[in-house]
Amino acid sequence: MLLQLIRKEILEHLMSLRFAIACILCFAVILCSLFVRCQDYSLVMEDYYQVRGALETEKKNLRRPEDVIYQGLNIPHRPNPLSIFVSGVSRNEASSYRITTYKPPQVENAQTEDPLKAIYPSMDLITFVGIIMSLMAVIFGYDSICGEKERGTLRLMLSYSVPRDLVLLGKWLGGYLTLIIPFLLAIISGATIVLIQPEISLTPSEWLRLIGLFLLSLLYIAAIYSAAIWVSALTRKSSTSILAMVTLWMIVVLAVPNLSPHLAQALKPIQKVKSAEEERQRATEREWATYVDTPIREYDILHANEPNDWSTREKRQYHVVECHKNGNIARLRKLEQIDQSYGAQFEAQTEISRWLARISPFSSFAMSAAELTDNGALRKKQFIKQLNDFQLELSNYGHDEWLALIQYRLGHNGDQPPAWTEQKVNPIPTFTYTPCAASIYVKTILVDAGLLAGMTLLFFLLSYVSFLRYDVR
Amino acid sequence: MLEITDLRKVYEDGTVAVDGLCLSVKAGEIFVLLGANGAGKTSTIMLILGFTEPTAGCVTLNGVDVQKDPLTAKKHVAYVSENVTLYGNFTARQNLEFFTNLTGRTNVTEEEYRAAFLRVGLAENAFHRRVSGFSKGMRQRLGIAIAILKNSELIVLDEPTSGLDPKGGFEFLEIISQLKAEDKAILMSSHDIFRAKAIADRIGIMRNGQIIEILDKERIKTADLEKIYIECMKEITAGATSAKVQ
Amino acid sequence: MLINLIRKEVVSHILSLRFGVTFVLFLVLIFASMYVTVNYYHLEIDAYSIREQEDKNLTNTLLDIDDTSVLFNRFFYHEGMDNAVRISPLGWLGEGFLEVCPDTIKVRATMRSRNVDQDSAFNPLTSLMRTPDFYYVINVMLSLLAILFVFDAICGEKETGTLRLMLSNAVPRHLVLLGKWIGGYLVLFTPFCLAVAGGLAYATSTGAVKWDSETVQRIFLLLLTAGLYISVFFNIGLFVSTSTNRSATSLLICLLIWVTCIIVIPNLAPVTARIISPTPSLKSVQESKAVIDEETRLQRNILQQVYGEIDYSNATDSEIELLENKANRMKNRLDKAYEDSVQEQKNLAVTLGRLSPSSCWMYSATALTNTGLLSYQKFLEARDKLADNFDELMQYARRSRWEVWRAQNNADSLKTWSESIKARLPHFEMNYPSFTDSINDALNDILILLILNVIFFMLAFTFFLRYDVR
Repeated sequence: MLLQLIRKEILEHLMSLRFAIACILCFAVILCSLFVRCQDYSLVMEDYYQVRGALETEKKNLRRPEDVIYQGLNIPHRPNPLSIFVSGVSRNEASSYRITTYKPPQVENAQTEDPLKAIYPSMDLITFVGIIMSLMAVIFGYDSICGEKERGTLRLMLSYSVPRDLVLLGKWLGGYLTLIIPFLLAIISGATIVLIQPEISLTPSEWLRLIGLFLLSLLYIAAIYSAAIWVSALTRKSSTSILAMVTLWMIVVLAVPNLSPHLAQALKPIQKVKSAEEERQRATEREWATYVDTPIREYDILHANEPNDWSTREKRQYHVVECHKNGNIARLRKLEQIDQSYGAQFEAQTEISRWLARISPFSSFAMSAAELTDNGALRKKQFIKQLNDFQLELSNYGHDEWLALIQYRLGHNGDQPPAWTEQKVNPIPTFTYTPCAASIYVKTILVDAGLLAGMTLLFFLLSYVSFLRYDVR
Repeated sequence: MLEITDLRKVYEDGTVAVDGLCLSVKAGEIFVLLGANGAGKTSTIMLILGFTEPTAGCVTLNGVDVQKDPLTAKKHVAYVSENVTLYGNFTARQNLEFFTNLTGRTNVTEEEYRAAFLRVGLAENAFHRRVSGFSKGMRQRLGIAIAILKNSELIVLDEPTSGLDPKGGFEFLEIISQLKAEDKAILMSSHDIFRAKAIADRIGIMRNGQIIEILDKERIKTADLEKIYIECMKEITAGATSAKVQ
Repeated sequence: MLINLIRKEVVSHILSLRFGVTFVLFLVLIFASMYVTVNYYHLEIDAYSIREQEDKNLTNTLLDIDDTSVLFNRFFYHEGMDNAVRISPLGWLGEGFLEVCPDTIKVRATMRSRNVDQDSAFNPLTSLMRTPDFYYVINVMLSLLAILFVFDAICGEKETGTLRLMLSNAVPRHLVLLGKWIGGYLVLFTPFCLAVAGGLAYATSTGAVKWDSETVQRIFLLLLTAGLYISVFFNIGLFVSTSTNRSATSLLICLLIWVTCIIVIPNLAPVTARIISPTPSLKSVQESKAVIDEETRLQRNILQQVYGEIDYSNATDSEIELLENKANRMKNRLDKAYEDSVQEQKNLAVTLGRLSPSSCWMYSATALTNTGLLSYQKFLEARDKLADNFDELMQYARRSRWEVWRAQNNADSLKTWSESIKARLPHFEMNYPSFTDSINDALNDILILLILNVIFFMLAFTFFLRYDVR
């Protein structure tokens, strides 16, 4: 019986205009945008390989340890292959960063961004599923109950001995299947074309993430579809139903997610730049005075009477470099602390905006999909933390090498050591981004995925209750 | 076959749609509910099908209480509604198949569908055409075909002839008399005196949710139905006017 | 007669639930969007003054270094000079296409770079969603609301049977349509104006707006364009409702058109442009540039070895300068060829985008508020000019450094030298397009909007004349 109902629902949808529209939209938009995003990714990868090659030359060309400190290195950063599917934060990431001791990490050769792309970014899966597929879900579901009532078929159908719950379940399953078939076909064929490209290779965990992304999309579509069915079980005319549903859709999908961060800013304002920047500045000066200026002054007073020969000068330089090293450790640690406490304040605001946004299933979907593909807030935080850690590591390395050279000269009567270019004491550290532990991701995603599943269930139950009491007259 | 006892339905807004209605239809009998708009005909049918809950009284189909066991009860009744549009995107064949499958019968052959389709007087070439292109009469016939395929003992028709031309209406009644010959019980609502007179075994005249008079075969033939009907209606208008005066 | 029709239309709209919802949505959305962008504008202005001060301090610290070559190398080669960029004067309406402009431009001898943005990082939604500024709200929401307002204008009346009743009187059909248009549009446009007035009042009260005659004219034109844009969708809805018989079908088709115009075309236009007119890969360009750089570096090393690293002389400097100039010319030529092809592709994308009224609105509205593509062009020019000026300053510093050397590196000459550099420091100055330029820039798109209006109204008109009222 259920099978019959599902079959009828599928057949009915297959022969309708909206199914044709869904097919055309899915295939045209998904294939076109994946094609271009794939090209974009290849370009970024080329860039990445180029920087990786250039890094070796740059390392060879470092003449003195000081160069590591002042000039620094332009380190490559492998772009996230899943950014083909989800833009997320990787839109703001570069394929290389210059790390020096005294400045925050910087992006070199920054290409000026195409303003058109910023306003109309090539569509990723979040936008496509979030906006277009949800609208399709509304269009597929809005008349499932009240439309049949208008046509009189609902009465006829219920004059048979079919329980209402079966009718609703059949409707839900049949409509949902026909809704996701074009989407799944398009996305799977698109993903296949993308993934057979030789330059794109996914690790097993990235495969899992990709599959998770598809499942999440299906869950989100189900939530919106259930809501549409519920509205159709509440109304008696399909034109009322679609009007209500589209207005709701507009508020939920187009307004709430965009407004929520700004609303949160209004609810819990933070003095954005002023205090933090001033604090950073003050902290830097303070730490520098404690660890560098004062010790050097004291050293100079203590050693004022020593003869002005090469070894005194070398010893003094040794001391200065050591102070600089300590000063930088203290300074960078302090800056990190400030960022953290400032970040905690920011985090509170973000939390508010997250929960405000979660009124809308679109934001739940967007946030969890971004995290799932390692393209969200977690990645950004982790990445910046690791970049800062690497800055400290590189700074320490440069200072240590410098100290080692001075030590050599002191131990060898002022003879110059063999050229540093050839013989570094320790190899130059390398940077690789590693995502944080899987459990943290799971925890973040589960909230939103759970919300989506809950909404699906809730809307289905609500439509069940409404349909049981639906007046078929 | 169909037993209605003391059926009463009061809507939330206080309107009394059906008021203490008693009625029974036997197999091989055509019962016509005759009445003006708002007399409670459709409400009665909705109660028979279990679409609304009665305020009091009960309806049994073949001995099964519609209220207590609606799913079993509905096995015994087929329904032809007024202005059924059916699934426009489906062909006639697909519509027949879907509804027949709902009865649980999945072993119906292509020939049986075709036979039912032809039996209600539809043209062979329309069998595989989409229903959205059908005229009103064709849809009504298809509705009957669907009811025939359900193969139940009672057939309930809600204003089946409204909006049909005289020829169409006549052919329609032919089909219904054939069904009667197959020993089906038939309940039909109408406000058309002449059609009712032509076909009915018994006629119940409804007003304000009550059957005020039941005419048997003899009286239908002999009495001046028109006069009785108009008299009944007159009482309504008089009642309405007196209500206004009060 | 027309007045009567309009009155009926207005009254029936105002009494409907739909009007209430629309009215509230208009007020809330437009006001919220303005509130958001005005606050953002103030934050940006504050941040700008801090950045500007900081940049100045940093530059001064560098220029106070008491060693000529350390100063020269660190200021011109390693650290460079930071220049804060100010948000555009009408930025309180939204940043438009200038959104991509960085906060700070760094110039140094060899490269341009930007800081990693560290704090927009923590809120995932800001990087996922577009800012709901004035342009966005009009572009996406009001267009949809306009459609929702009008999709059943004709077919809805047919369904309820009132259309037949109305036309059975001696009313010419064109008057009916005109009445519907004017009545519906009045009801739609009035709340819009109210909401915008509220938003403007808020912006004025916070001191974001300086009302001079040019601003007034720009805002006035902006509102007219917004009205034009909304009316395109109004007409599309009217047209669809005259060409369908059921209001549900009409809405379905309207939604499809809306999705295509607002989301599909603008997203696929750049994509299509890239497929039609591809550019050479950036990698090849960068590789050839790297080759030039490497050659120049080697030659400079040879020169420095020949003359000795300490023994700087005017001759070495001028030879190095020649070398660098030559390399720069070659690299510029490569860049130009690349940029030309990119520009061609961009132009194609912009033109393709005009298939959708949504892009026309974005182009013309941002052009009117000086946040459009032309302003972005001006930004790039200003940035390049800054880089050129910085290069010039470097050449000057290199040449005049010789004087300091000759004066035995004494404190006075060093001070004079660094003061002369300070006096010559370039500033980032953005010349926004003039009022006439903005209008010329916006005119094309406004015209397209106007033509679309006329076309869809005419279509609605012809379809309604032949509309089957049965």
